[in-house]
Amino acid sequence: MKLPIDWLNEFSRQNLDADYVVERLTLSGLECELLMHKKRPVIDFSLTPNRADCFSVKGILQELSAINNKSYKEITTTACELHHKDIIPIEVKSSKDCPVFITRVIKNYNNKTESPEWLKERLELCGFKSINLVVDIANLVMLETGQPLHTYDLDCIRSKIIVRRAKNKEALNILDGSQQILNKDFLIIADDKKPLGIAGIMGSLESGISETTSSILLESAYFNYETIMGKARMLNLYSEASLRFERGVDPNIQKNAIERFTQLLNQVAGGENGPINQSISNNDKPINKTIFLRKEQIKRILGIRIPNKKIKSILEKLKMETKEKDFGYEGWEVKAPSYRFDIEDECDLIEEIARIYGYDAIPEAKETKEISLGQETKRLDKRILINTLLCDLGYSEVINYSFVSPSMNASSNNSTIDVMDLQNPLSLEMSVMRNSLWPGMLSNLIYNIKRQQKDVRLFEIGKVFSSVKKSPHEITVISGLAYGNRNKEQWGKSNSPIDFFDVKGDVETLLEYFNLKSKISFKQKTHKMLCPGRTASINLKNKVIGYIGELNPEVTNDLKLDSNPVVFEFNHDVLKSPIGLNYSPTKYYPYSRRDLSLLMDESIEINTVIDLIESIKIKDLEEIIIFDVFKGDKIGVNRKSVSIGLIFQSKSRTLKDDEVDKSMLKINQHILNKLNITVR
Amino acid sequence: MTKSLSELNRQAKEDISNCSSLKELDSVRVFYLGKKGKVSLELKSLSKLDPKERPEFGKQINEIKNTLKQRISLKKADLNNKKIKASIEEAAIDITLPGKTSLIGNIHPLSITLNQIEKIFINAGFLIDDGPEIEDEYHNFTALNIPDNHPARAMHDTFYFDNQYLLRTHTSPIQIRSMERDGVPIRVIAPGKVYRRDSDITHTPMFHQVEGLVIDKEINFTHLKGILHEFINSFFNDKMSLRFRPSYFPFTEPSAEVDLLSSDGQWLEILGCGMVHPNVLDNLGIDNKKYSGYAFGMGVERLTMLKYGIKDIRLFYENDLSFLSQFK
Repeated sequence: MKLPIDWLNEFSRQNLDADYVVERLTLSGLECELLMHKKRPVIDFSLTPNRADCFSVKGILQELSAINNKSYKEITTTACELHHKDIIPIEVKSSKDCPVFITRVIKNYNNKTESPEWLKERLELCGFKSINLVVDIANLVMLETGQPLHTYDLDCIRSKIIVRRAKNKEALNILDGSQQILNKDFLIIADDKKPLGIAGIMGSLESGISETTSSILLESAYFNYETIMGKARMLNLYSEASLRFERGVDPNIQKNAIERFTQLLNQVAGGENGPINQSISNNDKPINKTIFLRKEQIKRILGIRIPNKKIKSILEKLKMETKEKDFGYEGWEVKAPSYRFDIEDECDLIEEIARIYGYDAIPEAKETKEISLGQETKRLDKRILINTLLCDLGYSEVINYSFVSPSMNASSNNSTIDVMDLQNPLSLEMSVMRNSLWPGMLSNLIYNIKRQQKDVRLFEIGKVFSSVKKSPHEITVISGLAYGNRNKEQWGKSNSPIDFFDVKGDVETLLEYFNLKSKISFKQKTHKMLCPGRTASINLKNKVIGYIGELNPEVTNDLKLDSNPVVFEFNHDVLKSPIGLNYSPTKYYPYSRRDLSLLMDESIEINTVIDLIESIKIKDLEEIIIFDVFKGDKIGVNRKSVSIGLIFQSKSRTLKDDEVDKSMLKINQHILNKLNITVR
Repeated sequence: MTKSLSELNRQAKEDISNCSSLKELDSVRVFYLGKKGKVSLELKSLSKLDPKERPEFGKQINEIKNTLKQRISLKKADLNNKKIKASIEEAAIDITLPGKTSLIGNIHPLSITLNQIEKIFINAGFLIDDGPEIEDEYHNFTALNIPDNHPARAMHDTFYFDNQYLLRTHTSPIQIRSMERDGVPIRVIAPGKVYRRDSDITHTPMFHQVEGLVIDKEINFTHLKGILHEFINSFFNDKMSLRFRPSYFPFTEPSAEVDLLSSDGQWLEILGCGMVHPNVLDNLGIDNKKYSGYAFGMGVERLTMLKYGIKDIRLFYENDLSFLSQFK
């Protein structure tokens, strides 16, 4: 809401300093800033939903007088002269929804009259467009009093006005040109044939004021805010009226607003006024209940003692009826004014006292309770460890949106898992929840290549989402991508394109840090996104926790990349900071090393050979190193040579040569027996 | 000394001094002093001599042997010294050539901020908690005193799924889950991603918040002010000026926005906070006569932008390496 300072000044006994007013209001909880519009100072308010009472000049003046200790002139209206006795009968079907409904018929005003300049200008400063005289005056009265008014073309109304709930699927064309289909949650204004408007939101197109209108029915109502609440959001049809009605309009100002409108219209364009016709159900008007305010509770929540006199004066400035009461403890019986819908409980009163007292006047303090030190730091330690390690390995952290385009989200290897679709995405590109972090990182890769980056290594830790039996399922994964060369271009260090094993090594290093390397295995697998033959599942014990591989060359081609990036992704929760580590003392005995060169079919996985050697449980075989893998014409088609080093070391003595020789013999025989392997 | 012995001695001395490498010296040593070397052979020939001549001859050979040994070791030391000197003379390299390096990555600036926030609050005795990003209406709104149709729901432009699920619009539902699980007293912060249907130069549809919650006996507004001011000072590593002003959140009462005085004299909104609304405590079955507490929520992007002077929030999600690499 925007209001020019001049307007507020009309009610002030001296001119207000704009900067001062803005600061005071801001510090009392009405967020606002000073704008200049056509060299005129205008205050722009961002009102929070609880402060319905401030949606008008009158409301702002009430607030100013409470915080400023000054009184302002009242907005006064007197009853207008009457010219005829015509009324439209009112039938309120549900007085609970509509406790106050007041109308007046005004006939034969001069419909050629345009809004006067002062009116147009005032509305413009408030951010309103001038429409026509009748609508402009209605808007002005709303801004002045806080009461939204509605005007109907009298010729469009048959016989009587009915306030009722809409029928299911009842349709009407409204002022903005759209058609709205309603249901019985909506309150409407109708005559005996047709709906004339959605109560508290917007009128029908048909019954609106047109150039030919010269007689109107003027409506000023109080609708129960609970009836109006959320309806504008449902239709995505916010109006100045709905903003006010759903937050609550003072139920005692309807008649004043009608008189004010009539007065202004008569002044500018004449017209013949009919009597006020009203349907008022006092029992259905909101009742501001009596709230008990305990002195001790103020101290308990705010942490300071505010003198009784001060509390009482704050409540009085806010027009709260306050009675000192002794109900066993010191306190007050308080009743908020009819326009304060936000004051429901004691805690609301405590906030009122605090904000008028001034938040800045409340001191800062340390909690006196002893605070336990060194709480849970595992989560942070883990993140810092992963961050540091991956950065050292050359990976930069990225953070991508959790939603992606459906076509990018094809990475799931499991077609039985459904994706989570957003009902109201910002765009198709951000319409489904990601089920892998790879699509985001691939976009990052392309973005950076376009900016002439060559060697790109990225990682991300984030959630992936799926729908399992219609329930959302989220897991945190850690994901990485490597593209380009292993090293920066430099002298003295040979360089080569990054490959599967570079990245596998990075993953193994990460796992090693979490003491998991021995529990993890890699198995040749396929994955939609990845290159067949260069894809592995990452398994913890026998459970697949993720994948690593080269990107499928078809995807690489679609993305117009020069080579296949290598990517990995696995469940982040498997990385757990080790607990209960125990040191075991070690003593040094020298090791013996024996090398073997094995010739075998290319199809034999080296893991098969290692597993085989390990399966015979050779005593003191401490480590197996693979130090060369060779393929070439010399050794035959579809054959490869694998050189392994075997490290023998005892924890209790120095091994003798012939013991190691015996072990080697056993290994040789075993391998040669099981697989078509020859020792070179 | 026999003529042949003195000739052997002379020849050996000459051979030793002519050596130019350790390898040559070693073969000279073997030639004279090895098992089958000349001196050894002379010693062996002792047995063939007249027993009377043996002691004198033996003494002479041993003298020669010892002198040669000494000469060889002197020569060895000399050659070693020459070798080291030579290697030093050849040692010069162009030390201005760059060192051999590996790629080094960077942590995302938002992670730097999150890590820092967590560290500060861990030091103040807070636990870190987490919750789902896809939430239900109850935890995101209803339990936080935002009933259906409440105008405050319009403050949160929400992304919805079918079946009443939505993307959490704030980290506040985590405080509900923490209390449901752990009860009170509680002292927790909850960092995480949140989502609002909004996108422009100051808004991204996903951003990060850190929620804080303390509920205990005798917790009041002065403590809230105290801890937030200490946090901000610690985060910006300076004494900062703050301003608390009344605001509105359905789940706190009183509520406040906190503004930070920037170096150019502007008040900048940095976080929202307040005393936990008794209705929220009631919803969770917590006795609000015994317990009170405060809650706060801060935007991680906003704090990061203020700290590093970043003007456009969208930079955080472009993941441009030339941007990311500035945060070492």
